[in-house]
Amino acid sequence: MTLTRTLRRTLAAALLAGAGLGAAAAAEVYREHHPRAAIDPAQGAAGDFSGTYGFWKDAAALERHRDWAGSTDPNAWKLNWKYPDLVDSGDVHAGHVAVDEGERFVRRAAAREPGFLACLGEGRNELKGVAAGYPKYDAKLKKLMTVEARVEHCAKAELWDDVRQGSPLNTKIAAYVKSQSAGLPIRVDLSAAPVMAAYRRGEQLFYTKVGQLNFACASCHTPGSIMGHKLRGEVPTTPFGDAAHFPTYRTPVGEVESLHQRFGRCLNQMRAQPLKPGDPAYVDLEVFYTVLSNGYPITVPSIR
Amino acid sequence: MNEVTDVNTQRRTFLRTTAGAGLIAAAAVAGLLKPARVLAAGWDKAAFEAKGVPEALKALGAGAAEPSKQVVIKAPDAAENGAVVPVEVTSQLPNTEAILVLAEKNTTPLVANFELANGAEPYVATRIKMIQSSAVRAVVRAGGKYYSASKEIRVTIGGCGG
Amino acid sequence: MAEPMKIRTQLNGDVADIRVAMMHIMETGQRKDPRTAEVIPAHYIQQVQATVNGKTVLSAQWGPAVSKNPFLGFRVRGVKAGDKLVVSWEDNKGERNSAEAVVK
Repeated sequence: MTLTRTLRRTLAAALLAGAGLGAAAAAEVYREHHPRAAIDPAQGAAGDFSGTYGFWKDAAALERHRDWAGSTDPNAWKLNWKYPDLVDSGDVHAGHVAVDEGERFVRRAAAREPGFLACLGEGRNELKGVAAGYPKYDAKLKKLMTVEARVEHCAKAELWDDVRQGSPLNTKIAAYVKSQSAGLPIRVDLSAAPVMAAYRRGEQLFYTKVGQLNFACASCHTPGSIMGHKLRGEVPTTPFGDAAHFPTYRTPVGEVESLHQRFGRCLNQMRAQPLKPGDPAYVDLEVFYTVLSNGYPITVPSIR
Repeated sequence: MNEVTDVNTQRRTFLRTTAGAGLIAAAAVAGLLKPARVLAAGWDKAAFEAKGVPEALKALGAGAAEPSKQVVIKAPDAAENGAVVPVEVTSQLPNTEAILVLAEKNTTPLVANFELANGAEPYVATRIKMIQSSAVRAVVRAGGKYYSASKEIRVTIGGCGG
Repeated sequence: MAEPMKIRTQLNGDVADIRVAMMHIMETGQRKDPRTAEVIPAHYIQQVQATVNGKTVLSAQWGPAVSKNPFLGFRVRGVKAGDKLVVSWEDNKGERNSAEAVVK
């Protein structure tokens, strides 16, 4: 047991180091990188490099090729898995149940401790629109904050409660907070220097090859890679727009999962050691991914 | 007969756990027992444990189901995830009483049996697990007779890995 | 057991479109725990019932091949706003759950 745990820690450290975070150890780890694709962070989702943006950018675009959804049409991947959001207005699934549970927790906690809601709302007793600006830099905490990190922080600070990132309750509350910005375009503020720095680190991670298969995110999600072609029976899609629907009800897993939990599953498939939700490397990757969704509306709850 | 036993068992359990709660508990018992009574209608073990489509249909008394274009299945041609395949069945047959859903190559093909009553439209929607690519069959009972339709679904990842 | 359920109703004329999300593991009894190699016992909803104003409109029997966290959609004619809908289930271990909604 101890040996396994030590080994795990070493692997996690190696992954971090390779990502350029553990500066001291960085020199010791050899890493390869996928060639860079052209991304202009100022363009957000509209800067999609896959040439598919026109197929998933809004409801009208998705309606036009609705027949591709669930078909064997080789173009189906161009919908970027956004069509489940189309029917969401009438649908009901575990994502809705999770949002309800998150809301119930927040209401109950806020009735007991009003500071909890004010903390989530960053001073306002109101969650509408709050999540659209995440991830962001919190000058008071001197930290980059995701919605999930905010939930953990506020629960600890105001409720003396441990609602750790990656726990079902944290994800449900985060889903509720995000749902309060559903339909609003994402606006990560890259003019804040720490956010831009995180974007650059996340971008670096996106191209860094890891794990036994020596894969980077970019190996499957950039033009000229497997993107748009079959891999193990599935067709990898563009990374643009992805962050908009997390946390999402992931049907292959049967659970509502945060973006960090999804990163963990990707790393497992790449045969690399996943990190813990909330890890600084994941936060950087989330900043990068969310900037690729800038301008695209949040669609939580959602099903994938 | 089973029905009565079930109700009594539940009632005993309930009374034991709320001993001494008095009149309020008695009133609650009346309310709580209602769903139990109807749910105790029974579960068709033989049909759900049948290993093939003919055996399952036979167990249901639907062995003679005849193909019908009035039974319409809406499902994707290709399902990326066999654990969650959306299936909708609509019947245009008059006096539709029940809709059955079967996944032909599942270990036990019968997935669900929906009995409709009191104004329920001849339509059901659900999501099912499919172990591999196969036909999904819908069997409708209308006016005491059985009709069926099927649709091929290609499954990329089997639905039993969770 | 007291897992929540979500019911959504939509009235089109006098036909109510009803969608239900239930929370249940729906374990088939055919999977093995990868760590212990032991079969994970079956645990799934076997019976579902829906009533409108106390009258049964749908009673279903399910096997383990209904997906985890089951979805159920059905339609009922002759329904009006304010009618009371109750959806209940019982699984193979005898656990039960039920939820109410008012048709809107």
